[in-house]
Amino acid sequence: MKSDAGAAGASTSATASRWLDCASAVFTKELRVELRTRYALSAVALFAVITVIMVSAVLVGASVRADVKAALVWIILLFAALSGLSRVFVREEEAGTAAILRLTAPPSSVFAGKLLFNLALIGVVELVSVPLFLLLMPVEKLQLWLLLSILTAGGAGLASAATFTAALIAHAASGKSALYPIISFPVLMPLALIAVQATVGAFDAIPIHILRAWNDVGVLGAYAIVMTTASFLLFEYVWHE
Amino acid sequence: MSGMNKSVQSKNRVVDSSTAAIPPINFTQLRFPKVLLLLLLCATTVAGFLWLPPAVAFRNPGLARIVVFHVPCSIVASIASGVTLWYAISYLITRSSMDDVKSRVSAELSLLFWVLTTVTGAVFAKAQWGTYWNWDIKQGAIVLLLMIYAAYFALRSAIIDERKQAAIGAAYSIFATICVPFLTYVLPNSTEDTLHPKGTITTKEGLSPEYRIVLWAGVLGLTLVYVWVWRQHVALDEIRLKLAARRSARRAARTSGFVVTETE
Amino acid sequence: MSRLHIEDLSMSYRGRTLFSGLSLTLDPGQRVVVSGSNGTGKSTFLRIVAGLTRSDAGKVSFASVGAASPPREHLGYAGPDVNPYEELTAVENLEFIARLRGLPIDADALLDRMGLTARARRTPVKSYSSGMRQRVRLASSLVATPPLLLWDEPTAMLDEQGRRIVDEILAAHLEAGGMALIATNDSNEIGRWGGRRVHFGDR
Repeated sequence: MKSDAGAAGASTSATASRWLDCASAVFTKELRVELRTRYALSAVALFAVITVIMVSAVLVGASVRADVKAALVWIILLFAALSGLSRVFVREEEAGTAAILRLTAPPSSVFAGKLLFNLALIGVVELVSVPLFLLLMPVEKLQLWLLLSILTAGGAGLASAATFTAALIAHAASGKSALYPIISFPVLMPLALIAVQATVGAFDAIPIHILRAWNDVGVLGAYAIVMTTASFLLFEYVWHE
Repeated sequence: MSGMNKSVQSKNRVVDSSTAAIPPINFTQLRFPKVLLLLLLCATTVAGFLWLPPAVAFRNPGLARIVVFHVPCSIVASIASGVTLWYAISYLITRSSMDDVKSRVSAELSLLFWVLTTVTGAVFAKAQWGTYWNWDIKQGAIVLLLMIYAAYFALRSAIIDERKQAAIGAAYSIFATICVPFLTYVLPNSTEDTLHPKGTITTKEGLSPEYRIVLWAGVLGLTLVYVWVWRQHVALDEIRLKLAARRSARRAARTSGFVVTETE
Repeated sequence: MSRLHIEDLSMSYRGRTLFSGLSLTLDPGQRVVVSGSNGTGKSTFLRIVAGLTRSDAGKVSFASVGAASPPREHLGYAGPDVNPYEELTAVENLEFIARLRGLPIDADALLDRMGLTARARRTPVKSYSSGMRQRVRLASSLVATPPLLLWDEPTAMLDEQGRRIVDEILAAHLEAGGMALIATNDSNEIGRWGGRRVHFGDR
């Protein structure tokens, strides 16, 4: 009885370590391919940087309110994300390499590896484009910790929702890049609205807004957790199609 | 509205007469009381226009009668969305193509009823508050749902393989529906920002008795229209599936498509 | 060792029946050649056995000694629809698969056996010729020495030396008690690998 339980425990821990190994293998593979091609960096990060520069150039001399700035930041982040986050799954299908993963790895570990990569990518994009945005369009009473929390929680939600829609879009026969924003925006709309409302608090520093923004950070975290859980549950059903 | 229903109804009667011989054993086979439904819809439409008194509490009392169409549409659309979600989950578990048909047909109807809700709501809002749109919680949720269903059909049409279409569509409809509640957190509800009154149809003092009768009769009528169209459409697709299966079975019987040989 | 059971498999694609009621048993050391003209369902059949495509009916199972494990662990698949990662080298491709399978591997030895030179092994696959890619595909299917090999047109695009290597590897695999399902249209190979054969298409 006791030894049975021990054996079962050992086999679950073996499965768990195998799962982690697969997930990290997929993640490092993505990273290695990315370092060689620089595709995602040039598509997503460069997109964000160029849009930030573009926006600030167009608005030169105009007095832009804090809430408008908050909306601009998130619109830029969202469009940048949707310009390249789909690659993790679309590239596998188009290059005909997805079967390697299907034949060898547990589905959820594949999703975990891809999600991790997209999280890292969103992190880099935020690290580059948001400071640049604040440099070109300064905010006087910036709430740094609040902004960082919003970017962390919002970025996590953005990455998990966009990674799952990427897994769906990879099955489409044609027009993947046009369809990706179409199916992602409805899912990301609540995230965008909450994130903008919170960022207003971080930019205008009005006490009531700051209070509301900290609440929003919690909701953004909840969004990230719920969407990640749903992704993992549903991914098993769409991967082997 | 009722005129449209009438013409659809007479067209479908022809279809129904051929299947009328089926004994009414289970619910899905029950013969639909279409004549009663037609009378009910006519009655609510006539009552809505002629019998209901103008609602004095509104800025445009005459036009306030539109609520007896607007509210039932939104309720039926919600039911249709719920059915879509239910059969999407069921499809992923059972992989039965009929579950996919049920989910997809319900999604089509729910898109139709959400559009009707949006149009009647916008007309009402313009008349009462002077604006077609102002992003309160219910309007926001409707726009989100319209976007979700439009994206759902765009996604499905981009996938060639039918089983893939069904699985990916089901997964998307579930995933997208999960995010809707987050919108209700951020958009205003029951503040001075919102146009929609709260608790009007659920509380006693919200509506006058005449309004309450016509409104709930409308809910009943439109729900039955939804159930009826949904069942007809599902039955039609079921026949299509069966025909395709029979055709391929006949072909399979002629040739099994392979031969196993053993030499040496 | 294990045994492959294919029971009553049926498949149709877009309303067209490819095959129905296909049953087949493979014992250790056996191979079956799958032949038939283009579009008759050879590749689909192999993909179903590999678990890459869902069949309409029937089942594929391994009756193995000991605990039942998912068929994934038991098979090596190589076909024109599974490509190596272009940006990685051949060695990196094999090491990635080995890591996913949770087993150590001597990628260099395996690729050497497939006839890839040491220099080629260290350059990204995107600079390879189609014959070299095919060698990487075949090597990928041999990672972790699975008991069942599923090869779809293994000698396509291979030169004479490559074909010889395929023959050698197949012989060694069967000798060691392995099983193989091989799809091919080459009448030479059908004659050479012959024996049991599933032919798709009209009778």
